[in-house]
Amino acid sequence: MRQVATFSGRESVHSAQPDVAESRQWEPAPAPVFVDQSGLRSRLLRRFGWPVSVVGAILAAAMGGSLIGMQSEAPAMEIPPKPAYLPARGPLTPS
Amino acid sequence: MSRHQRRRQSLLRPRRLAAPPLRFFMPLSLLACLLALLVLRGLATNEAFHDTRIATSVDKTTVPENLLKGGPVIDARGDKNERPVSYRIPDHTVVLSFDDGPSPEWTPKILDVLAAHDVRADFFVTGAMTTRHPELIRQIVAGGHEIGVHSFTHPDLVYQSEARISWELAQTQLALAGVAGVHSALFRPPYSSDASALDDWNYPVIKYVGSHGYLTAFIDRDTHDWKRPGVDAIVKAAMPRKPGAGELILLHDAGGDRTETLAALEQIIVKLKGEGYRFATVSEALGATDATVPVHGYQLWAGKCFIWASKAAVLTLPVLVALLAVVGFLNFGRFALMLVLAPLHARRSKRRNAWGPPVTEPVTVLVPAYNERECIANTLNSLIASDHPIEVIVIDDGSTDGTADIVEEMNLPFVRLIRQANGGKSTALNTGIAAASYDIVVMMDGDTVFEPSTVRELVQPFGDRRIGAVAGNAKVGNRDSLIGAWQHIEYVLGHNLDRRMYDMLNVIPTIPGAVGAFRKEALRRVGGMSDDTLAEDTDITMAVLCDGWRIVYAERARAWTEAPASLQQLWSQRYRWSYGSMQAMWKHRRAVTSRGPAGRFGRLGLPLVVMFGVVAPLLAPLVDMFLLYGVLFADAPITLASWGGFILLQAVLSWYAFRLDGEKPLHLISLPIQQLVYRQLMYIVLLQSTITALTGGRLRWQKLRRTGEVAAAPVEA
Repeated sequence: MRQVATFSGRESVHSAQPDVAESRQWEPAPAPVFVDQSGLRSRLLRRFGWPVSVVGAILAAAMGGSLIGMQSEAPAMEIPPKPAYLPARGPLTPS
Repeated sequence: MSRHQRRRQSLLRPRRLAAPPLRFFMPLSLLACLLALLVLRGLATNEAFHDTRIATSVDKTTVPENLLKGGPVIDARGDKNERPVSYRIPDHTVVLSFDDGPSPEWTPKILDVLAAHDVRADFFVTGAMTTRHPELIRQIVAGGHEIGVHSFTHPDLVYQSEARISWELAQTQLALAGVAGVHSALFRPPYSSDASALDDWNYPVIKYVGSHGYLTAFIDRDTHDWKRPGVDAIVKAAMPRKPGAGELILLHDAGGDRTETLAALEQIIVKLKGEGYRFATVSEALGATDATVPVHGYQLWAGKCFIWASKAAVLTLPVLVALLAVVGFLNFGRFALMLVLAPLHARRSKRRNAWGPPVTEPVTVLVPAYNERECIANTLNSLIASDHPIEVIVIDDGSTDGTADIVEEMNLPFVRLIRQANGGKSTALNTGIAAASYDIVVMMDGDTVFEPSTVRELVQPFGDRRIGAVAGNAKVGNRDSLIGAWQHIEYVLGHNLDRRMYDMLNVIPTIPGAVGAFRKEALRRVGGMSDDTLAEDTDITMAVLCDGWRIVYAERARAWTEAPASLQQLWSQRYRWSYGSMQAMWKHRRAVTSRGPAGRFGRLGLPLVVMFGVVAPLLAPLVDMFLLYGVLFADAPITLASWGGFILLQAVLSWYAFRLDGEKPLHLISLPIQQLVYRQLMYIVLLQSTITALTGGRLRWQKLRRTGEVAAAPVEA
């Protein structure tokens, strides 16, 4: 981040020639707080932000999708017709 | 805290919409993830969609006789859906079934007993428990036992819609696929007993479930072990009515202390084996194919992902709760600080001559004006009525709407007009400071109206030599619209009560640009106004504090300002404020490690402002996420009640703030809506300006720093 220089415009307050004072004080001043003239930070954050957002959106969609509950059918299970009404009599070889 | 200077361009230009809106997409996608995680966690802990209602049995007119008198297993699948059939457990065969599990404490012990006796049983598990304890399901399956579906959230399905029943089935199968790679064809409705308990309400549920291919397994013998009736009672209840008759026994492996169940299980097995019974699963007893069937492909992987996400959700929740606790702590801490310090401040301000001898010397009032055609006349007329001797300097900052001409035409004897080329508010103020004749400088905005006593009240604290600046009380004039009323509440509660608190701690971070006064000496020592930041008022206030001056709040020095009347104006004003305040905080960050008064501000005031002004609002969306989750998925009444309680607390505090400020509490009516619309707008603005700060982008109204060649010398009118 940029260097913070305390405002050096004391003269301007009392100066008889504010215009001269101003031009002297402004010229060496750095960019305003937070501003990144090169745009490097912005590019870095964008490069990092897009994948994060896309992955986040995909994850959110996947998690949301897993909550909808689409497949509610049971698997097939064959029951022989015989024991339906007439259960087998007698013990079936107790274990 | 009114800062003026309406800049040329509106914030919401089409260009912004054309650019890829990563700054909106990213927070939204992260919040969506958060909400999904909350719901997943809520499902795993059986908190979301929870329904504890239990139906009581009604008529049985629609239930076929053969089912009521038939066996415990009902087949309503496929072409049997119209005329379901039931199966009995064959004689000398017993099926043990355990409901509501798995439970990490009891299921392993039950599995041990079953394994010791080489017995295989049925476990009717809920999806929620499955999601939370995957390894137990794997142990059950590995032990050769059978898994049945017992719904996901364990509601009484009689009260649920078909869509919900279908969802309960699907979600449980998903969980089973995820943890053990199986689906189950067996189903047992929650709160069910034997087939004779079928009635007009639950019979349709059985048919519906059957139409999805499930075999419903009721029971023959209910041990009521969940009531803990004693080991003997459980064993007795498990014994067959007729010796040798086949039976399906209900036990529970979750839902409380299962010591009795465990002891009874051992005895049941020993006793029934002694009577020549064989132990089987439901499918074995019916001679059917396996009820638990392995799944592959998409179903398997969807299940695995569901379980992973649920696990992650359960793990992240403590983090989210901790962050929520931080928000709560900050909000309640702020309330508590206010409640302690504001009354002290109110008592102090009642004392007359609290600052020593009355200040009667004339002062300079600076009115920087940029395109204030509509307001400037009102502003100056309000100053005419001042009951304190004043000199007024209007600094026209290169207005293009004839503001300066209006001032000139008014031709007021105590007003001086300085025209300068457009250079920004701080430059205009510096010009004014340089031209001021007196030692005390009052600053106001060109769109602000003073009361006759405002200047007098504002400068009285300067009777104390240590006081370097005084903050006045900015009030919203146009408070009859909804948006005006919201800002009115915010000014009275958020700004004025806050300022009383900060005053008592001697760390007032902002003197509102609309009404404030400075000792010229203090301004000179810190180098005048700076245009390093967009919030020159916060910047200068912090600088004066760091220089060791005291700053106080004079709440009787009221200034009436016109608050933004449209959302767009409000947005751009707040964008500038939050961005500017953050700039000012960052600019003065070295104060944290400084010595003396700067260090005091850096270690007390700065953290407070950062916590209350940046951290709390940035974490605020989390509160809304929990609110949304609570209302939509968990317990809506409790969520709404606690939210209402918070609003009530805030209402009480606002009412107190209104009373301190002598305001009618009428406008507090819109407080609940303010919490639902305005609060969100404020944190979105803060988030957006934080993103702008991080990316280092230049705000549109933040002009390039002037190099001086365009700064014409001020012309005295």
